[in-house]
Amino acid sequence: MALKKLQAEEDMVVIIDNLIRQVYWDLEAIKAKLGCADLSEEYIREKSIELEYIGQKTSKYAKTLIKAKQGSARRLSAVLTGADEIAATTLLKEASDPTVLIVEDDVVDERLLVMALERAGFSVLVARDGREATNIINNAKPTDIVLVDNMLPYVSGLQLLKVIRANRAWSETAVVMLTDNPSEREVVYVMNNGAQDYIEKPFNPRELVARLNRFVH
Amino acid sequence: MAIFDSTVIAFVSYLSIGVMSLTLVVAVLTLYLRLRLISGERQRRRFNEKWLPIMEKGMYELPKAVPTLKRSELVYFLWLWNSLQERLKGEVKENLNVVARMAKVDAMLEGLLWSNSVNSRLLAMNTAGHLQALTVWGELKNFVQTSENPVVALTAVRSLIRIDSKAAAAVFIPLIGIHKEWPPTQVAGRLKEVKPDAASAYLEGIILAASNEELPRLIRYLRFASVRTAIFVVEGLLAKADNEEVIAACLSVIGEVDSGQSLHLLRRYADHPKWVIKVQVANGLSKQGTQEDVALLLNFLGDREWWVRYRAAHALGSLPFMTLAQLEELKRGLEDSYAIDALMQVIEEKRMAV
Repeated sequence: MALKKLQAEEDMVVIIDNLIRQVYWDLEAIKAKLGCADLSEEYIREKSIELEYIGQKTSKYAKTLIKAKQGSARRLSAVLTGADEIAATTLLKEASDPTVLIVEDDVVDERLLVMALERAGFSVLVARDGREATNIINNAKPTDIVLVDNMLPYVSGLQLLKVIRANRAWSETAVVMLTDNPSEREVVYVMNNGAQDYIEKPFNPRELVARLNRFVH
Repeated sequence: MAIFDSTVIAFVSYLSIGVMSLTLVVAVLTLYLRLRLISGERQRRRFNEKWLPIMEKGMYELPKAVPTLKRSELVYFLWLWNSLQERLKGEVKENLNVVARMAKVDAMLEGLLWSNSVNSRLLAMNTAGHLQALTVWGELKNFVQTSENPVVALTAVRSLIRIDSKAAAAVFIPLIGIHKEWPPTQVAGRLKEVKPDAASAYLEGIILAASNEELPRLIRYLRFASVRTAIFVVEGLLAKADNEEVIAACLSVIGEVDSGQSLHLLRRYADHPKWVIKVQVANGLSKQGTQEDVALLLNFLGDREWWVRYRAAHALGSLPFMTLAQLEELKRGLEDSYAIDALMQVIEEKRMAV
């Protein structure tokens, strides 16, 4: 996978700035909505709390972008909704780290998975349900790995597995299923349908990382 | 008339005042409860914002110090800490235990175990299990032996298992025979957490001491014993059993433990007149059946009982050597429309899976 190697945090800042301007939203429109047209762009970016008012669709991602800019931007975690998905995968592709799409509806599980994988050097993208994940898969560039919870709202983990396997662009992406107490039959079923591996919940973060590393190194 | 009028007016006035006062009291009470809820939520959020990063960081790198945990914050801490513990395995759990000990949770636990709130008590028990707090073993054992609330008793059982599964087996398995009110799925869940070797002798003990009415309920727990014990006990029971429920329970254990050595027992009951027994035979054969059981299962497909036909069809579909083409071939050889229907469902399911 030919990924552009980022030399320094500044590279990421430039990418984020460009994306904010070009891809995500019209900065002037944000200023107008906030009623603070005289404020500098820097101020708006730093005050992530104000961005809550822009609306659910963009605020979470905006915060993530700001966090990525302010903190260590090497590993970017994007909590996605709606229109941000495609741009976010574009952004992830700019990173040098291996990429994972986590599809998980449980907020605490999601947080623990993101933390374990980010610590291990993965760039992480999150979808909260099967529909959101399907949208990403159909519209965005593939990630190296997809980690899918078996029990998801709207589109089940197994259905999502079939969606991934039916998409040629994602044919090289490894799919790892997250399952609660799986039966032998379930394990055989997911493996027969194109999953590369499965991880049982509750999960061991070290084991998770070791298993996922097999698909990127 | 005038007197009547004034009485009515007075009555209506008092009634109105009463209703208005009551409405006011309810409104004030609702407002108070709402404010309390909001304030509690705010407090919890503030607590989580402070402690979640500490716990998350502590999972990977042990902190040198943690903030002082106030007694009023203990329940918030335990909710958060337990929600992480329940989702994780491995070394990170140990590190979370260290964080809890640094916050002196273990010292505050005993008090919470005797709280008037059942929720707090359950939270304390669960925490004791994760923390492997041997100091409260006596209290937990007491809850198992004396609590009339199955949720409390079985939560205490789980904590004992987490602390020392072998010793916990000795405490709770002998009580399974007595506590009919303990939900079977929860009992099964607890038995699953005990190693089969630790559970075997106690399970054998309660089954050998059980009355005929209790036997079917208890036999099913044998699947959590070692295969050797389960088969030994079941063979002994089948040798003298004439009760259909006992036979069905024994056959369900044979099917579950999947030893392959007891295939002859399953086949022996294939001609039994009771459908509950034939269902268990079909279930058992779905895991252990061989080529020579195909004819037997095809025969079951024509049974008058739907459950037998349904299980037989699924057993045929589950046989490891059975392909989709072979199932189609078998279907073509059938004449009974019920048998064809049963097999068609399995063929369609298998086709979808492929």
